[in-house]
Amino acid sequence: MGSGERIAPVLVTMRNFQALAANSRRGQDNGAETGLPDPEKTLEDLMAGYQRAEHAAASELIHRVSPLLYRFLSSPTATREYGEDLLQECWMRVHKARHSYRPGEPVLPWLFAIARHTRVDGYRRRRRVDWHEIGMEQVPETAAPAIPSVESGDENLVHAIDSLPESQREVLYLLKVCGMTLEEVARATAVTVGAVKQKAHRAYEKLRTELRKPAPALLAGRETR
Amino acid sequence: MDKFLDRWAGRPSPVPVWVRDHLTNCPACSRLFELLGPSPPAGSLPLRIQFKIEERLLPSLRPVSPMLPFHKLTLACLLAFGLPVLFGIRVAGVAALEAMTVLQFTVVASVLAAGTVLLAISVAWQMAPASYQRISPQGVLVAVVTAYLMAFALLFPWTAEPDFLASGVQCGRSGLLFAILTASSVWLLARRGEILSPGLAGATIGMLAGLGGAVTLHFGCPNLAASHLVVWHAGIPIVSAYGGFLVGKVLGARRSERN
Repeated sequence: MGSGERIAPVLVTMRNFQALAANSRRGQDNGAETGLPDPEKTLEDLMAGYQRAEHAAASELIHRVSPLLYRFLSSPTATREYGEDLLQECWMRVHKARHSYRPGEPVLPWLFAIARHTRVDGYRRRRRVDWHEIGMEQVPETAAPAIPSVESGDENLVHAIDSLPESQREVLYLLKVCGMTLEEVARATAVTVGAVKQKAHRAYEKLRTELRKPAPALLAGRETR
Repeated sequence: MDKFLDRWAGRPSPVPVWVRDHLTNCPACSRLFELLGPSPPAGSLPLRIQFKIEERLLPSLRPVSPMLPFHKLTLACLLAFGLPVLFGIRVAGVAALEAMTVLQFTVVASVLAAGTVLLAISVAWQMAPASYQRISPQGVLVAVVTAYLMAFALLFPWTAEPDFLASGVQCGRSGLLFAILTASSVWLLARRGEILSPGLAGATIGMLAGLGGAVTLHFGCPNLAASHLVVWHAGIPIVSAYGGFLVGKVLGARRSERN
């Protein structure tokens, strides 16, 4: 199977997430379908409403953005509960910091900047805990099964994406899944647009190289990891 | 509950508060809610988590004033810097003005002014998450220190100084005192923002405060030996940046523990 054939199902998967991101911006995702008010409002309108203490706006914002944040905060090596806890912590931080959003500016970079630091703090805490813990009696459910429709054909690309350094994977997620612009990603990750372009380019190059490898080589690479 | 689920499965309708409350506490109904509803996007999280988040946040929801626009925040930062510095100049005097040449004074004052503005902009950027930082904060720190050291090294005479330590300690002490005063003033402003990298922000505020101390010495200290200036004047922003970095790290760790 060529790399084109292998990449196709995963592109469908990524498009699903892109649609989710686009709907989050427009307000037509499952949050809106649950009957929450005014799906035409943009995230910026909702954030401004959140600052004015409008419960409906805050509620809709939570429903629209949480799935994206959850995907961002989840780690393939951590439990599903860990991702959920991190998401709740992230929202607590957003709640405390909501005054620092300036109306009119894009909301997603602001949210992801906070989410990024929540994830880093969570990772450090987890490392501290792991350092002290010796073993586990039972293996908990991991967040990995949440990745949609990962069939045999997708595995190689998923593995290739997992093998990217964290900073490149993060840029790829924000650009390709959340549909953010280069400047928005630069804002969220506190780097320059040039650095974002460079990371994205390196990520594409690495993915291209990984996907050109024959499937057995990829699987062998995974076993040695 | 059953009635609501029947209705909700048919068409979108608002989710009443009592239903949310129940869904938050009842995993079985929550699962049913998800199954009957439009299929959630793959990989998304259970609705009960979203309701739980709402439950935690909404009761404490109060109106907040959005943060000042960037340019006003920068001006506020410069004001928080300027007031203690003016006080410092008044206390330390202006004896250095008579000792320096126009070129020396102008170049050092320009470096201090440019450094102050850049650092104030950097602090204002760091106070609001996702500010588009056109210059990296680390780059600003390095550039300011380098320019300051070079100005001293190139414009002032490298003469032997008999009481290098005694006069230096005096300058260092008063410079650091004014730096602490300036840091307190800038910190009062900065804590109103949401600082995501406390270590870096601490270093930036520390260096800005250190420049405050250096400005008072620039006006007050008549000792123009390059060795004195490089060690005891330029050392103040470096030491206070490091101190700010440590304080920021400690505060950040405490905040992280609280969360």
